[in-house]
Amino acid sequence: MSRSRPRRIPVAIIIGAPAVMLLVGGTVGWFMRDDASSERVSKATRSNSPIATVVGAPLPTALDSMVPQRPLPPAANPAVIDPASIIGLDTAGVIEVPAAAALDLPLAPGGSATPVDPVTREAVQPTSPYAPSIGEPILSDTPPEIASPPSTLAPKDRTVPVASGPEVVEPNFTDACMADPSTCAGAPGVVRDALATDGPPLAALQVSVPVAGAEGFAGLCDSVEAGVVPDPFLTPSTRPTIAVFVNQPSTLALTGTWADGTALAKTTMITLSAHDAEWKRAWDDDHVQRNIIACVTLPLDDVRAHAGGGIAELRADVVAISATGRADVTGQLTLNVPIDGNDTLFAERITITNRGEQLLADGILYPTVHVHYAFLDDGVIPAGSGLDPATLHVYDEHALVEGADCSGWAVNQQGRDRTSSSSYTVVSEQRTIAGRSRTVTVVDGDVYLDPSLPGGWQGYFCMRLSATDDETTKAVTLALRGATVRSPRTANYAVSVLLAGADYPDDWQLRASWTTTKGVVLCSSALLSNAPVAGAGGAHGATCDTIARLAPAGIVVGITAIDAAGVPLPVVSVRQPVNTAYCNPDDPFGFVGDGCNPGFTQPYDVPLTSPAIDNGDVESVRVVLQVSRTAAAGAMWQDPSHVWKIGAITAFAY
Amino acid sequence: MSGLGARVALVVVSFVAAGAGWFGARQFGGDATPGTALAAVDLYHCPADGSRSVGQVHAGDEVWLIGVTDDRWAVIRNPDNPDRPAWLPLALVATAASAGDLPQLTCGQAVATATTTLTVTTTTTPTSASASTSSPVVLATSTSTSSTSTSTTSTTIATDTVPPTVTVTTDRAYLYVRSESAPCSSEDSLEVAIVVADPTVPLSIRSIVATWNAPGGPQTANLVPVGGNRFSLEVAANGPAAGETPLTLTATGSDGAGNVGTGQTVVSLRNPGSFGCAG
Repeated sequence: MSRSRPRRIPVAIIIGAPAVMLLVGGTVGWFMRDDASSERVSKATRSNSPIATVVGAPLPTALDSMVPQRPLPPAANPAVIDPASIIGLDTAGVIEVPAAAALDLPLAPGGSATPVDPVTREAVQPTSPYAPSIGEPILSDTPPEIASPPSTLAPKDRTVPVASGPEVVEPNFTDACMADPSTCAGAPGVVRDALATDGPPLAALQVSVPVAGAEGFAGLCDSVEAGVVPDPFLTPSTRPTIAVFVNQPSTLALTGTWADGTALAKTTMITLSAHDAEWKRAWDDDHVQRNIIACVTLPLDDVRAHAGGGIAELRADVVAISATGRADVTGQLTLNVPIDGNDTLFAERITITNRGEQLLADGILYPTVHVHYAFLDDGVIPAGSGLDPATLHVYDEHALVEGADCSGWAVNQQGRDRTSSSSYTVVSEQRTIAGRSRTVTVVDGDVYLDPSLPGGWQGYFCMRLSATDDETTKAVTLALRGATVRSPRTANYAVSVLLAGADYPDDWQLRASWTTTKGVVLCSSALLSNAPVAGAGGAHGATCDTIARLAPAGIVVGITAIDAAGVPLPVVSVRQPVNTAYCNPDDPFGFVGDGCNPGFTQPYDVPLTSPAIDNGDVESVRVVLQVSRTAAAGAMWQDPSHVWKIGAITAFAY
Repeated sequence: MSGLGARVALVVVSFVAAGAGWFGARQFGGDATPGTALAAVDLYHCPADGSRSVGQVHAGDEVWLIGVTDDRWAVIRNPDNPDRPAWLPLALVATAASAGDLPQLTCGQAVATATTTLTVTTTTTPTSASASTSSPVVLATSTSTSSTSTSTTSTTIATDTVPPTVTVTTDRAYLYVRSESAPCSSEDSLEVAIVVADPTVPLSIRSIVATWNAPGGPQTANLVPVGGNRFSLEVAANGPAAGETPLTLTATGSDGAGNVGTGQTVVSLRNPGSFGCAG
């Protein structure tokens, strides 16, 4: 009897059964997969209504972990560079000089200059901070119209690209402003799928407009170039040096055209590797993007060949290339070159150069000129003056004068000094001149114009050098020099607040205020209301007129509702950015600063959600903020709007 | 290969293969990557303590920024009501905007809350990362007796009992009694600027008056506004009999909390005849 042997499983089944099951499982899994595309299709077919169904979730308490900070990159402005952001710029040893004060210059090495009263010769103290006059808002139901944007806005091919979100996600909601961004104030954005954890973004490469190195950066450029310059015998302040600032380590090239039409051969600008290293450290450690100076000194003979009266005009084109991109800028600048002569007083002739607008500690942009000269200490006693060298004092007086020339200002006390203040550095040096060691006093000063003056202010910059001793009551004038000047232009801002909601109770008011970020009041507060009776409140709207340089960090518009009982309820505070750039239609890169921006209108329907409000009368306030920005078209090439226009230095009779 | 065990093994292997196929197809067949699911982001009307969300947007949504609050919040047009601002974390919005493109927006409730924040920041050292940004400017509200439930606001009001600093400056240290003779005639008017400084706005100038002593007794003169915070002073008569006499300019100003401060400066009132000018 035999036992039947079990039948062997065919090889085909051993292989085929798992294969078939694998195929079946895979097919089922395919249809059960996470398919975003199918969801996209279904959502794309929906209307644009948002899925705002989940409400009432409490605000996270651990904000730093749940809602980390992520600053936006700073605004681009190629014309105004914060001195504090410039790596290596030393501002130590600066003497602050109040308006209408003179500077008592030391005549011995190691001495220090002091500000003094020009009449009594007694030391003066710095005055209280500058405070602009407070404007009165214009009450009106209709804010001023916004001008049409000029044609110099960003060309299509240079428009900053709109940031995109994850490409795999189709938007469920798209704001209507996306269809025509030019009709809306603000900027587009895409909701991320996760918190950005890569730190603040690096601002795009920006190169400043070129400036002459003598405009306060001579020492810094000297350290960058380390003495490797075409004419090392020139002092740093008298070299024809060109400087720019970049916000990323870069390689830079300079080309240009002289005023006589001759082309400037392409040359490379120099940066200091130590500055690059410090930039990297500041970014890595502190996420602070500082500015690096790049300099190049041109051969004196080359510059002199294109100069007249010691001044050479150059239209400079700078190209910068960094690890992240490329940037270029064009600017007009003036180079001073030494003039041959036999001046018994000045070792270096007085030069007055543009410093554009300088941001001081009070947050205001001051139109600034830089003055530089060096005099021979042994040349300050005029023959026959009888001044006693032992008790001799030399005084520098300077002024930005309107309504008179320098003779009128210095001799006849005419005109009005519109200087706000100034800051000086004074250095006493030993130099070998014509084979003889002589003491030279080198004076550098930044002189600030009253910033509340309208853009394009015109007048004279005057400098008087005088000497006296303990026995002489009347000072002896050594030199009276000056030049015609025209300050940089600035944009005008008309910031309007309009109460737009008709359902706002008549017995309620809306208070609008305008200040700078430092709390300086730009305009008095205005009361708005829907009250039909004149005098019960004000108009529906109010406009504050001011200028960009008074509030470069922004105009803070505070809006407060005031109920029938007089209880103030803060509604909203808007710090409106101020664009200090100017409108130059012939500037091919002007769109970077968008100086031709005419403003915008932004409605806000702001809920009154303060816990203090429990009366249920008013749920929200509808206000309209309108910014009308005016920067009449200037000219970049012949009459640069963002710089001073400075005439030739002239000697005035005294 | 034969026997019951072999058959069972074959079944098990087949089911394992099916499972592997299902998993693989799910895992690799889908085009969604981890983290790109349509995550919801809460929107707030005002990101202050106790706020609750009022809606949501989702990853990939194209929103329109109308402002920011500090470096922490983006303010967008609310999808439900485009004119109504809505807040969401700035770190959850990809944008090419710079700080110059967007206003700093602080809603009413956050204004009140930020009052405390501002006080804190004045006593602490900000980190270098945040040092480059500005705190929102807080406009404190004026005195109120019925806002006791707004603790932060009323705290601000209660603590501001300091009068504003009033500074009076002149464009010259002296002026002449009105004169028709040069050069005194060009200096018989004084321009006076008054600055009222205080963190609690609105600030206002309340009064400005000039006082001096003359042979006829104490004298006063009012000043004429010439624009903004500037006033002009002229003295037509009743100056010193000879030489000069001190003239005191006294100004008062008030802050938003109703505190009143006073400032003074002294200049010289000159008799033109004593300074080479015909009376």
